[in-house]
Amino acid sequence: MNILETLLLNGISEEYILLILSIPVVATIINFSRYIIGLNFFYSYTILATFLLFQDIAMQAKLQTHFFYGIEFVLSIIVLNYLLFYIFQKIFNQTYIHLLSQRTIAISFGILAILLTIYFGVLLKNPTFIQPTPLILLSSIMIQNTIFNIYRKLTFKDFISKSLGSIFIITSSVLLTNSEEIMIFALSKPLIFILSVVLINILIGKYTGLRISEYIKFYRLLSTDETPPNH
Amino acid sequence: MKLLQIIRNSNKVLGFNQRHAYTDRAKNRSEFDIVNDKIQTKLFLEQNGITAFPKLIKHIDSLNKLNFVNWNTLPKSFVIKPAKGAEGKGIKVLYNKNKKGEWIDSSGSKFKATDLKQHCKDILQGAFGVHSFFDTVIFEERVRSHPIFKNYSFKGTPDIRILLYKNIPIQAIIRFPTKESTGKANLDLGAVGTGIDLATGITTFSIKGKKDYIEFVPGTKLRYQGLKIPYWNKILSTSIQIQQNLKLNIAAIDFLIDPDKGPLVVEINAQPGFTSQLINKSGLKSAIEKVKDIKTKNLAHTLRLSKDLFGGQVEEQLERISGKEIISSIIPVTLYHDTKKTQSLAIVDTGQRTTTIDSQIARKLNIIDAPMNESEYYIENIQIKIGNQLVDSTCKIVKKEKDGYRVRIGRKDLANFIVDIKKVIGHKEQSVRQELIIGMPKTTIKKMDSTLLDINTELANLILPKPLNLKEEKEKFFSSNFEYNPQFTYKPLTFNPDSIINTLNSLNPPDSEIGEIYLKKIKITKKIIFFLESIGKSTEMFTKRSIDLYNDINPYHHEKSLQIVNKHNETLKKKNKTKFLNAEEIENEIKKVMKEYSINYATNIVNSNYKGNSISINHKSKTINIPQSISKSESFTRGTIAHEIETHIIRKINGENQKYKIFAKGTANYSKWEEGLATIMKYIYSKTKYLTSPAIMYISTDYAKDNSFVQTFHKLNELFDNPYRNWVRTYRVKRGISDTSQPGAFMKDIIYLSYADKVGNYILQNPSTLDTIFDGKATPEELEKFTSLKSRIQPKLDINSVREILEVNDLLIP
Repeated sequence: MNILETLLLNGISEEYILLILSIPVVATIINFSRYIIGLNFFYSYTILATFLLFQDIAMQAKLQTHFFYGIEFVLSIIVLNYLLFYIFQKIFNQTYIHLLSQRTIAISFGILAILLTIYFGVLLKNPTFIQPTPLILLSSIMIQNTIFNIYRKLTFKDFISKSLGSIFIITSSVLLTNSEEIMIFALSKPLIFILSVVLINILIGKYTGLRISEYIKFYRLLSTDETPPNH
Repeated sequence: MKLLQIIRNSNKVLGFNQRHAYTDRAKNRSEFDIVNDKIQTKLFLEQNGITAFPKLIKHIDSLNKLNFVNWNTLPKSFVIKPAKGAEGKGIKVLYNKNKKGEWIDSSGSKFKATDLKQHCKDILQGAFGVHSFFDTVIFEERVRSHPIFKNYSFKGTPDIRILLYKNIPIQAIIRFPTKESTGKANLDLGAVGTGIDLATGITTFSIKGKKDYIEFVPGTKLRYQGLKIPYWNKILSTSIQIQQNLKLNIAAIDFLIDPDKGPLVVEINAQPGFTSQLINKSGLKSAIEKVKDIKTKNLAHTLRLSKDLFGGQVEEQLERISGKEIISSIIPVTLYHDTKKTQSLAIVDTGQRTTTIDSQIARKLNIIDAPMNESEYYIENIQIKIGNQLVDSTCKIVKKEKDGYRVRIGRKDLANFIVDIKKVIGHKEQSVRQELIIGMPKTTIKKMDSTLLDINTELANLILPKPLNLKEEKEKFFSSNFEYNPQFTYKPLTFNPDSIINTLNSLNPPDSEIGEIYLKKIKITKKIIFFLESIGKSTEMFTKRSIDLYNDINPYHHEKSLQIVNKHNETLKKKNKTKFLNAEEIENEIKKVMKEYSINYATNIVNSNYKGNSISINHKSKTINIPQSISKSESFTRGTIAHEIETHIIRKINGENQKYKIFAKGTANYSKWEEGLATIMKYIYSKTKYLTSPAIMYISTDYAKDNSFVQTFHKLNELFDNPYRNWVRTYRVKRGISDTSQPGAFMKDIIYLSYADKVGNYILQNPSTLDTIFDGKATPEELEKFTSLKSRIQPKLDINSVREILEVNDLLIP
């Protein structure tokens, strides 16, 4: 009897095992997105938290439409937090507030953003509206903490690029972990599945070629034989 | 196909994945710590003798200290930055202060002290640090923009980035602030990045932001290309010096150029971005591949290597800018007519409209099959391959071209070309030229003698560059406590170099041994013109052209020079009684020697207005000038007479009696041999046989080549404690250069030692040369071969004295 069967026989649901097994897949997608595609995104743990948020929404709602709701939810949190930080940064500029105090205020604003998101869901009579679970709250706070951290360091353009990159990864992760073939393989041969994931990550780790984004960036340089003398 | 090309080219471009492999943060932790903290960077630079960085006004590492900052004591203009910041984040450049006490930045935003304090708090709390939670605030002097960039950048100061692999510069860019980037030199914000040719320091391609190629400064017709970056050699040398000590695999070193202080190091980056590849249209990976196994010897070697490997984009760039190909004034062409083709050497003649070909070419192309009856006629449908382009032409056929060139390309066919009269034709073309020039009529020796005499008389007085502001710059140097690098200015050329080059090109010496001597003279005269053109221009170019004329430093003679100087210093301790002669006594000595040789040169004691303390000769007026204030020892005077009269004057007089007049004015390499001989002659009469003065000149030149004026002077001061003599020594090797803060030298002073060695050993190995060596201004070999003198003035030169000099100086070749 293998570990998986033991877990299932002892009442651990298949959904949660799949959720656990999907974490390395998401991490691989993050890895792939950075070193092969060359995407910009929020911190890896924020992405993982957001992915869990999606899955939790799915589990709570038992809905196939959780993906769209998840996107709507995450986007609302990102946009609202950004706007709120923009306003409260103006206030902080007027007077000094300790960094931790700023973070606490940011969390409070973040909660306000979550409340507003749910409120808009109610107003729009969104059929997928659900009660936010502690996991959803935690993930939301991580997202808004990320925004807090990067708000002062990045330009708006960078912020948009990171947001889009993050959403791309989350979308890919949700789609890939919803693929029946992959998850059946993961459940039937969990060890081989994890080893395969490790192998893929080693290969990515050894890749020193150009990233796809760099192929785009350097397209004009790469697509021409025109090279200055002595180079 | 395109995809294949992209994949193939991707091997030349360096991406972030490969960067991580090269930089390897884990292995270079301590170096990363230095460059990631700007205070550490400044300390590191200072410890390694590099003091050219913006002055630190103060730094604050805690909130408590921030509360005690007296903001009123801060200057009107300064910079606030995080010590551990990256990508220019958190930097506030404050340009001025208004009456309300608010500071103003490049975008016009105003900041009260409380605003700046808040910004400092953000920095302290790590708001802009990449890897840190806590940071330090730096208050730094603001570097003003160099006036040369005034029309190129909007408000801010452009910065120059040198990318190095190990210690070899492999790429360089300059970032110009724009209105969009609110005066910041940040490409992400819309600043303009321009590539720099490593060899010349001249700007090449430009890009706005990180993607769009741009040619002109927005709103103007001013091109970003073609701008010469000031202090280029110093920037490269400093970056090499930094990397020699830092030893990162890849580093980007950022400089700002202050109008007074020159280039200042503002930042060292261990993990640079690679947009410079796009800007320079050149991949870094291929550059790294070229240098990764190279071990450089010293700074000068690294500098030369970098320039040789990665320079040379400018000419190509000029072609790209104009869309026209650059060709030389004499160029091999291929002509096509129907199925026939023929090659010929053509002369580009912008003075005529239509291209002409002579009857011989026309026959080869089957245009005519018999000698021409009519004097000339036109033929269409001729294609001429000029450079890399095929031009459809209508040519005029002439019986025979006057100057021997069978094809003369006219304006009509030159629409897509730029003619560079000084462009050197390649080796391949040279051989074609040698084959094809046979058809060109030979110039008579008489004609060549007179033409070359005219040209060289015109150039002779210019070969020793003399600054117009020498006196003022000398005063500045001494009043700065020897820390000021003179900025010399020079008189513009009084002749038209292009016209002289054209005249020289029209000379075709006969195919004989004497013809070879004239051919060499033509070549050296061209080199002299190129050299004269470089006076006061690019230091690097000046040095290169000076080397073309007088050769480069060689380690053997450098080593010998140091030995000679050391030995001489020891002998100085033993003081001898020496009798000094005044001007009148020196004049008598000169007259005595001239009488002995029956030389009719006038002597003239010149008054105190005459600058200098040495005897000079004016061959034109046949006068020897002796300064009134001169005071020289007896042996020195006799040595000078042997140098000036028994060598220079006697060789001149003998040369005038030769069949070929070139021996009076001088063959191609006469001056080096003559100075070597004159040096030997001088030291025969000298009490000490050490070639001290030539050795010091050699050392000075070597120092100057790799150092600024001030550095050269101080190095000489370490050897000889005589600032006034050292000023003269330094000036001698820096004359011709405009900005003496850059390394570079006038190389003439190396010939006295190296050619004393050559001449001395030549005499010992060929004693018979003593019979003819004074017969004219030519090399000993040329004189042995071509002298036509039956009687001559023959100075005394004893072979044993020559041997003694060589032995004492350890220069004797066994």
